[in-house]
Amino acid sequence: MEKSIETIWTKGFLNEEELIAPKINNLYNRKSKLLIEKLKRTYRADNMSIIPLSVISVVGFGLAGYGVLGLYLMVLMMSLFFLNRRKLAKLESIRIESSSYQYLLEYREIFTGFKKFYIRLLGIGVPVAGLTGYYLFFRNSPVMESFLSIQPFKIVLILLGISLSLSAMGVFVYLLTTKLVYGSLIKKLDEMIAEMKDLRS
Amino acid sequence: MSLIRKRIVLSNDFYTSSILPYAPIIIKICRAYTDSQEDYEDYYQEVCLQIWKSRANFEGNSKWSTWIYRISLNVCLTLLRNNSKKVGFSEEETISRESEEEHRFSDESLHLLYEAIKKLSEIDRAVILLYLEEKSYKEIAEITGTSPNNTGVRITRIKKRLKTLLDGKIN
Repeated sequence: MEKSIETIWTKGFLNEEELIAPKINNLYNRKSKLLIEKLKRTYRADNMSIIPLSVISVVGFGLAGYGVLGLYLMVLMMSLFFLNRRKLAKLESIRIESSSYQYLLEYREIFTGFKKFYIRLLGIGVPVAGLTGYYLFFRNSPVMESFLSIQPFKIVLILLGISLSLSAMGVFVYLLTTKLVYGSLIKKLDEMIAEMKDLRS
Repeated sequence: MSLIRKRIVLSNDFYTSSILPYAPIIIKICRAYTDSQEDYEDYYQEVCLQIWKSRANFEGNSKWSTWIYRISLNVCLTLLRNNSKKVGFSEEETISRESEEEHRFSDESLHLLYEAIKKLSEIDRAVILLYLEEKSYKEIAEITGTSPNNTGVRITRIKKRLKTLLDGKIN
């Protein structure tokens, strides 16, 4: 006689083996991998966006008659691109070895390290690069002549003021773009680490 | 998938006392929404995690089992939708034939019934699972967010569809 779905259901589950719960294993394994993959993809895309920007700089300044300045900016941007690529290689080298928790913690630590590194780099690098850029832009202009004609201590003060402003602006722009591009992912990473910590306690 | 099988402490007492007795419910639901053993284990773990995370939100207005049904269904539906967006993400997510075989029920009739249930829409799957678990129309409606009248009509239609599928041995 044909069995009803209710009978199939009830009798099928009489066999206790069908209802053995799987072990709770490495709960965050896949979630961690997905999140880190997303972070790496974003980092890669973020870095790749430097290439068109450097091309635009060299072409744009070249057309405006500031070829040296354009090339200078391109060299700076491409240096940043290769530096980022080296940093990305560091991220790629991490594997889940002991647990997802350690894996995520390690990533978090690296990202914090990156942040500190870039804040220092931009805080110092942007004023240095910026002042050189200003020099290249104004070097043969009357602006430069009149600037050099003012008292030396005033020149120092002006350069110091510009440097500090550029430094603050560089760090601010970095923090802002990092928040916009990576903010939600880092927040998710922190939440996941907190949940895992909670589960482990 | 070469998972490092490390047991995680899901607040062991809570798991043993509040989730494990209801594991059959979770198992039955997770199996209806997955095609491989790997996915099934992932779904099961995710459901347990979500139950644990949302335990503070349980106010006792419904039965604990109803709460578990609701979370299990929500989690399975969410994962199903998310996973369908991530098709082809990585090699590890490819469903292996071995895993599909492991995922079979030893009872052939039950296996066929599940295969038929998987042919239903996401919400119909939820409704029929609850019906088979002898939940009242009111409770089914409450869990799935439909009206009790609609639930009755829907169940009749689903049972007809399942019968057709089983008579034709699915497809």
